Amino acid sequence: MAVSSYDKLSINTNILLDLPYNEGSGAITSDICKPHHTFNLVNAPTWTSLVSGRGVITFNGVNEYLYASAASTADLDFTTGDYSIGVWVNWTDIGRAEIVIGRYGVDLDGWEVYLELNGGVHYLTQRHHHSSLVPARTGCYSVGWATGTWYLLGISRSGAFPVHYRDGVALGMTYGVGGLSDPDTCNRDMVIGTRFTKNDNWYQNMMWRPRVWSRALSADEWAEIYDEESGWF
Amino acid sequence: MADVVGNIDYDEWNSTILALQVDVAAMQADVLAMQVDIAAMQVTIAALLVLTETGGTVTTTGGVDTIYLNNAPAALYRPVCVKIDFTNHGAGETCVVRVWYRIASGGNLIKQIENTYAAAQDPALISLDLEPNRYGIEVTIEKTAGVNRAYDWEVIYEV
Repeated sequence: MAVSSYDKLSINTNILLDLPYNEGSGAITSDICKPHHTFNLVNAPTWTSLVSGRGVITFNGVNEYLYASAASTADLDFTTGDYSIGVWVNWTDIGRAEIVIGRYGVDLDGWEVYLELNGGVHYLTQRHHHSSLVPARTGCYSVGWATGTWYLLGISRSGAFPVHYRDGVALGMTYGVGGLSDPDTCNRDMVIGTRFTKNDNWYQNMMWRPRVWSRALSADEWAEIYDEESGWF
Repeated sequence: MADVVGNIDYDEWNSTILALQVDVAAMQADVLAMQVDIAAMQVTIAALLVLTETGGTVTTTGGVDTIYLNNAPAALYRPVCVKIDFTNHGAGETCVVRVWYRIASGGNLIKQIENTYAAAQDPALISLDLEPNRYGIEVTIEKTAGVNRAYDWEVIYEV
């Protein structure tokens, strides 16, 4: 059978983080793309196997999260450059904003992505933090991210007006005035499933394969990822 | 009799349009057949194995430390090799590298390879072949003598 190379798949161009959670056990999970970030599982989030055989991680929404050190994730410190974030999520509401992924300090620096149920509306919010500017944070959101359902969450950022994708389809966006300003450079741990201080805004339920690219994926690429991976869910 | 108005022959028009409709129907059938072929190609492409790599650094503790673990593969996959850098490994030091496989769903990881590396290694990069696997594989390292050290590792696999 023919074999292609991970690095030569066009979808993996400029990929910086890819955590497929293949380990299925233990307290670390390894990045399969070149930077090889190692993420630590804190407070033992649960390794879960879906009916399809796909391994995912389940977070309890109380104190479980993943992180990698600031020093080892310096390549994920986005400022002016394009980036994309992709991850499969199936979340439940805990009455608080739930951080999916971020490398940031609120009103200080970096970027974050969180889900939130507020007033009956399910939001996916993306924020940039920049203490060098006024206001110190800018953001945008999409809606319709119902709880208890698997979604391919995609974000393509190029310039001030990022686009969110759900299951490979671009969503209507709401932006703050002027869109998102560039994040200030950030030297903080990268977190998955909790806020930057690692003491609140816990993500609850399942998540698979967080990925980050240093380029803005196209609509066709998000559709391609969804077509290839939706069968697991 | 042809229904002719001026220079227009409507019977001829009608027959031309009918012929075009037949041609369009034939093209639609061809497109449907191509769509079936494309769907089959997509299935084939999705099934192609992708040569993938992961790696990191493990610092020994004196116990059995995991270098690489795929505890629950989603499907059959094909690990190719594991490489471990013994550059930091010095005289008077000993490490045991083991490879474990699970060959039954829900079963234990069973040891298949156990290699002992005593003293400095030359060449310093060791490589072990790995085998196709469905239910799980683990590579471990255990420092049994000497100072604990950091060992870089890399695993290549097709999935």
